[in-house]
Amino acid sequence: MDLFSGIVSGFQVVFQPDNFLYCFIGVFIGTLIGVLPGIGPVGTMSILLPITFGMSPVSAIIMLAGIYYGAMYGGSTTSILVNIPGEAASVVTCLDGYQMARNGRAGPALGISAFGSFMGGTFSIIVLMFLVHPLAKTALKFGPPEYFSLICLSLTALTYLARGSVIKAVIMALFGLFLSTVGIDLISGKPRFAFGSATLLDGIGLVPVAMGLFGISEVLINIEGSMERIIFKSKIKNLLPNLDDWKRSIRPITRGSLIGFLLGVLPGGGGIIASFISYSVEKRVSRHPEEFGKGAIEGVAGPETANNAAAGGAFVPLLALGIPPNVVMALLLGALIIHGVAPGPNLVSQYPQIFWGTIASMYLGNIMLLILNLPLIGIWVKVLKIPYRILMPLILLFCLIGAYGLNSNIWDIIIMVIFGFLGYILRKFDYEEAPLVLAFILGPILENAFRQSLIISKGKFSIFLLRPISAAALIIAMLLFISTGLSYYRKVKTKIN
Amino acid sequence: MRRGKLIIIFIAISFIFLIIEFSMDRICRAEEMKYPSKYIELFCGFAPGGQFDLINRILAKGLEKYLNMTVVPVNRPGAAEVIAATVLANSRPDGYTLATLGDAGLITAFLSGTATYSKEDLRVVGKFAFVSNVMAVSADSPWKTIQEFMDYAHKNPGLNYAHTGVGSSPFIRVEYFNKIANLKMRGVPFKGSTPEIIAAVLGKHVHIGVTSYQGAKSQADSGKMRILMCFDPPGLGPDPTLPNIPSLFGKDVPDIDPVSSYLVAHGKTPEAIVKSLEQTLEKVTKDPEFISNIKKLYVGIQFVDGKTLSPKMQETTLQIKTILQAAGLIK
Repeated sequence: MDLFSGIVSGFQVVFQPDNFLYCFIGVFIGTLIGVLPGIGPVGTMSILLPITFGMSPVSAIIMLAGIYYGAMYGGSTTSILVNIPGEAASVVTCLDGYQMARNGRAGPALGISAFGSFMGGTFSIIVLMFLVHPLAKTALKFGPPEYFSLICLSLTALTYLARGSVIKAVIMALFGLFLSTVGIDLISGKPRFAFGSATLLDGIGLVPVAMGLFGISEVLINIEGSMERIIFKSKIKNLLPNLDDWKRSIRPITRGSLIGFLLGVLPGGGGIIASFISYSVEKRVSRHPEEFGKGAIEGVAGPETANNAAAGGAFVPLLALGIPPNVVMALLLGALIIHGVAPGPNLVSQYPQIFWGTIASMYLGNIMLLILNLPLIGIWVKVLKIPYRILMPLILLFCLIGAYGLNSNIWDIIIMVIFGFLGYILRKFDYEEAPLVLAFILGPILENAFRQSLIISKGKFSIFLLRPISAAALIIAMLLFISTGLSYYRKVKTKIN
Repeated sequence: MRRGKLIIIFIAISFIFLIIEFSMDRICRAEEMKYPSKYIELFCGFAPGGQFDLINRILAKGLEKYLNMTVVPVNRPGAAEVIAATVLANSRPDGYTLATLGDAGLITAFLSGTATYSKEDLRVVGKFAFVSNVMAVSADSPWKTIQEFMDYAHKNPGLNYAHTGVGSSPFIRVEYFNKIANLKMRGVPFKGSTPEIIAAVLGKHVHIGVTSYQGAKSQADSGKMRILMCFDPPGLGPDPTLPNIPSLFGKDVPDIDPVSSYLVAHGKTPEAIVKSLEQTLEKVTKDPEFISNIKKLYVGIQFVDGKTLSPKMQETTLQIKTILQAAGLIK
């Protein structure tokens, strides 16, 4: 089935009234879920999975995929408004998005985020259509050594996230890596730092940590009462990005789409890595890097585009190889299996209506989300006008419910509160949470990839340099590291002189 | 003054609600009423969308039919089934909380000391299914049969195989095979699931991998992978033509049980309820809709009642114990 007839048939499938409705329901629920901290697309999709049993496979996939997409859109809303990442991929949006909101520019931030997400999503669908198979083949070439080097590169890029002191960011990153070792070690199967607790056996949960460090600590800081509310009270006139915003965002969006899609294709990669590599790239190439961390719109445009492009890219391994690159895709895979469809390399030829139907629904979903989100900006912005004495307890309530809603485990709440206090202390001393959280996420992948590589190479470290992709990533990381070091050295030198 | 009144009214209403709640609870505590008289929760120790989750959901549907009562599948992933098993062990022994567990939560957890519950806390009602694990290679690799692979492994010790985690059920099966065939393969763990293993095998990062039959089959059908052997009991698996341990090594070498799924209740559940569940479970395994759904997952169906299971599980426990000791996980 060639491309054109494929797309046409896909749209035919999607414009059937029930599929259209399912797409809408999916993106709507997804957006809500993305906005609410705590429960994410995985939880929602698993709750809704039984409902899909009665539907046809295409309808089920359309709805579930819509939830995934919607969550990516919605996650940025709370990041921008209240500095709480709605889900892991939106952590980076907190950095500049929230600062923009504090400067009275919540509207443009939300707007650019919506547009960027739309463009990233659309871009990834187009590339997906044409390059499904070759991309999938390349994705397979990424084995443990490549992952290790890629994460090394990512961690080096982490230092670019630092608003203030680079040394403090590095300390936070190292602390994050350390925290990520809690749990059962993959290679030996032995528990580490679990102290006999069943909860800790799986490692400290990411969601309680993120919600604690960002959400609870935000509430605690605001309780101190030293926030200047005057900034918010000023008329939030411009709800949409102005021309200057557009001009500054066009390149980050382009770059973000590319970065996001490529990283989304990698199994285990995904929106998180994509979003903050995009942020680091933008900060690096920007003509005014000092604005980053204070409300640079590029810091919102790039990452938001990247994480939506990554969501699209994640479909590549699923549809082409039958290999889900992350948990959400694995759920979709399960849904397909339960409907009697065996996803695999033959999906495109055996079930063309599923493949093309899904792709068409992604286009439709993106458009629906854009239409949904733009008018909502006005409503979201009003949220900022709620007096803090009502807003803060509400945020606290949502965080508590969200944490408990994950696994009905009281320990998740306790962990969240502990990290909330920790986050408060860290902020008081000017340490940033983002490097900690991101290193915490990457730590296990880094360590496992390193040790898997050494098992494969029987102990020879040369494996990292003998494989081309891995070597390339390591060399770039090295150059990045040196350049950061040099500029820091130069700064210190001029200060001394 | 107004605020004071509001508070009193609020407290009064909450109090009334609490009273209603507790009395409802007693009304629902149906010792005199027939089992089941309210909905049952069926826990699964793995994340939604995965194979064990799907098995759990299909079982829930099957049980619903024969118990005439809603059965709700609930996921409590974590710590290789330990969290789900702990929830079960801490629940009320009234038969309204059940779980689908495998040897991860029922055997390995005890051996490796991660279990937060004791053997008496759990009562295995029966086995109802088993997951076929297979060994598969990339289609363009030089080994066309398992025998060729074994010969190659003997000549080149130290080949790498991909598995889902040290101490996991597939790991134990492969290590058993590794030991009795003296292949000296080295295991490379990949986090949690079949897709990672498939990616590792297809990308040629390892020589061979152990995956579920269902995962490998879709790859095999499209010519990307080749399935070399399986761990099923003879004649029971989804593909009886595949070589398995008995066919490769003969009757003298004890076979290892495939990764099985058991329906488990709380240890102190009344005997009558357990018996009723056992009979229901047997009926479910013969139900055509259940069979066809499970077959879609390429999972094998086998019913074994609680009494017959006891000695078999002890045997499996010993086998697993030997493997874990050899792997250095336990003393």
